[in-house]
Amino acid sequence: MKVGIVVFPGSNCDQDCQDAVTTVMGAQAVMLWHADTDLRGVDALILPGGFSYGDYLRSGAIARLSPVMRSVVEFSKTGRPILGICNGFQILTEAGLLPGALIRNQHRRFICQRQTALIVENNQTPFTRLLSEHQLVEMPVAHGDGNYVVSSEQARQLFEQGQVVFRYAQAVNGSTEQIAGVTNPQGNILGMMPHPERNLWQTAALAYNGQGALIFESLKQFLLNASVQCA
Amino acid sequence: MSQITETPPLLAEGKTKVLTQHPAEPTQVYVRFKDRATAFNAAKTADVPGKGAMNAAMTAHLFAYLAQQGIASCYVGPGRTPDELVYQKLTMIPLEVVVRNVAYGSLCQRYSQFQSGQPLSRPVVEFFLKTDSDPLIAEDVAHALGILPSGVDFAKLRRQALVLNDLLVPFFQSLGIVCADFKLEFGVSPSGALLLADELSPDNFRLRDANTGDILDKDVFRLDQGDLAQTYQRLLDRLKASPSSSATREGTLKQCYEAQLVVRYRQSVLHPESRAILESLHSLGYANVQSLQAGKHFQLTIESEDRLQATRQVEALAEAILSNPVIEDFECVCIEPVEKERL
Repeated sequence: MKVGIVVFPGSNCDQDCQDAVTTVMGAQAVMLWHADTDLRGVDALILPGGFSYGDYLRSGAIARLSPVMRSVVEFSKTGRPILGICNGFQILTEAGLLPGALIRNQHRRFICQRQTALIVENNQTPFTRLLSEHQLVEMPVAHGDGNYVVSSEQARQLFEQGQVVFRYAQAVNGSTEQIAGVTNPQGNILGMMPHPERNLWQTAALAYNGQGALIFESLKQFLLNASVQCA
Repeated sequence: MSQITETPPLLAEGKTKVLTQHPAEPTQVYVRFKDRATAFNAAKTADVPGKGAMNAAMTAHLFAYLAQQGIASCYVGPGRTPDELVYQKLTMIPLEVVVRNVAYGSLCQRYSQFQSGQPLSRPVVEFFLKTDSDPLIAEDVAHALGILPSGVDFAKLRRQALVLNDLLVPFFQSLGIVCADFKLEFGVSPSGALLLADELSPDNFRLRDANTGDILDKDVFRLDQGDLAQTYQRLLDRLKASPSSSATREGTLKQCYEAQLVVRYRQSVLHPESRAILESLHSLGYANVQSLQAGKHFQLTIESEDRLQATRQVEALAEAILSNPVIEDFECVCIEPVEKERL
């Protein structure tokens, strides 16, 4: 099992994602540079958080023009899973692979919280199958541009079609309907602002509960099932 | 009970054209070009057999050429007779937009600094009100008269006129003709699109043979310099022999254009930065500031064959990269030629 992690200039969560892939999933992490076009036969992709290209122009706007993104778009069409976290989510919306846009937090503050409560809206995705519907999970958030913008009509459609995967339990950044994570209509691409890779282990001292690991364990199980079906 | 007539209703008749309703297409009109020449605001007139058909043919030819270059106009197709064309019905803007590359006519009368026939260092765009005397008009007067449709101002008309100039000058150049000046009229379609209208013929263009300096337009009639019908026929023959559109663009010198692009958040998007700035102004005591929308301004210098290509490229870049169409709108507010920087 190979999971590709796309590294852009300015990515800063790529090594945390590498840890998640190797330790939680027991998979091989393939680090892919933004200039790469060969995805080296990976089974899934992660676009990690950070500040690609200094967030110049708009968060994710320059990154989505990188050579690697053409391969990411092709990869997405095969139906294999792609997880975009924080800046990775912004890049996926800029690339048009996910609906909506992410703009400056409504209160204009950068938010950095160890534990933010999320409500699971859809546990039928490759990334959430070990969670239960309406379960409360806690994940760290750290972003300045996490305010998810869609029209109220689009938001209604996203809920109806099961594309909303996570909502914030409380309003943290002004996002429409407190949406924290959405998929594409096919469900194989998930973008989320919270950082599961920063909450892999229970640590009493820092009050982490390790629930982020469930995302990566879900993905592992999905990939194992997929390979069984292919065999 | 209204009487049923064989001929479709007359919509308008001017000095040189007659407009009638298309019987089958409510949004279209027949435009018949009269065999009549007028000059000096109809102080001098003459009947010229065949002129209507020639003007219709030249207008159709130039509209078709411009359509190939991506310029939308009122032109739909040929009519029932050679002197007739089918146009889309537009709400006309009662302005004559004149583009001059060489000083002639009223420009020299108004500004004695210009000698007749003197090439201008840059194209000059002037606006005239369509009335009996066609006076020069300033933008504020046009606004005060209420003749500008919403979303249309002089800057927009000027941009469009200069795009057309950048297409027409090399086109005529490829035929060995100097395009000294021309007059354009614009209208607005029911969907609000600004479209080129009226006619494109030597009635509205000053054209000179690049080698001999011979007059190839209505000036032969204005100035009694030759036979109008013969002159028009020779021009029509040269137009019809014109090479394909792609060939006419070859050898065009590249020019640098400076574009000003503004990107703004949609009104429907609550923009936190704009709100922060507005609230700061209020807290400083500027309570009368009602709204504020921050945006981005890009200044680009683009090397391109002409203004149209440069404008298209700026708009394509804005659409694809410089704005996010999910949350932002953009407007290319200005595009002007600049001296090419020496690198």
